[in-house]
Amino acid sequence: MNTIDIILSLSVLAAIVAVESKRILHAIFSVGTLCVLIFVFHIKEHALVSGAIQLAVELSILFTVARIFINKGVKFIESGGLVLGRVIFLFFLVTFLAAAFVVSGELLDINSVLSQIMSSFASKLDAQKTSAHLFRAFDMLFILISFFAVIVGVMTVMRKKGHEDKK
Amino acid sequence: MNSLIFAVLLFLTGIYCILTKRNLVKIILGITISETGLCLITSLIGNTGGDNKKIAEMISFVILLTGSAVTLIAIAISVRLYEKYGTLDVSEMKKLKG
Repeated sequence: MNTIDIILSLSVLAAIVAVESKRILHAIFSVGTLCVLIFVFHIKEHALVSGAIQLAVELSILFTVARIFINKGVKFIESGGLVLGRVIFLFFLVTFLAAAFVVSGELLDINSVLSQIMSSFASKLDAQKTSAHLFRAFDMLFILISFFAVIVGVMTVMRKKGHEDKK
Repeated sequence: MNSLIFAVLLFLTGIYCILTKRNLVKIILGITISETGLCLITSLIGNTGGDNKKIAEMISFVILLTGSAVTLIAIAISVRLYEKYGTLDVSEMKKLKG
């Protein structure tokens, strides 16, 4: 099983979670995770434009769905109770971490500020190949966690706004 | 080959969602998931290098753009339906039935 298979299997898992979740936010988060994973897949296949368009289009659709339905006060809890519950958020975190660690070794040479700082440290330490991979892994992890935090922040703000509008 | 199986699985998950779920938001998400799976299948089948890859990428663009337009129209329709019926359950929307 190579990297692409792992990414795609995680995306299938995200799709199943989205289909079976009982709350709108959980479903939207799951599809968002799916989009990020497909984005990673496209980058891995060197189809950068496809990946970027996929991510932009799908995430904007998801934000639109969330915003409209939360502002309209749509109830999305289906009968039968909350099966997956808050465990789903743990799933997202695990997926992001897994994606970060899986793709970090061979994905991109992202030249972020953190990467530059890390590489300067690495050069001072006379870094070997393994430590360079480790630094890149941390870099990718940092980017993905930042992305996750931004999504969670935006969704929380939208949720609060929705509650205020309802009142 | 494994990748193609996963892509087909993704597409089938979307189709399953469209066919079995009664909530309109879920159906829209199912459309999105199946569209993503379709994009993946196109990319993977066309990934033989050379011009084929470019053609596959272009077809993926078309699928993405068409899918996003369809999804946005579906969202607009579902909002209007929610305002009219007060629910998103498709089994309760019987006006155009039969």
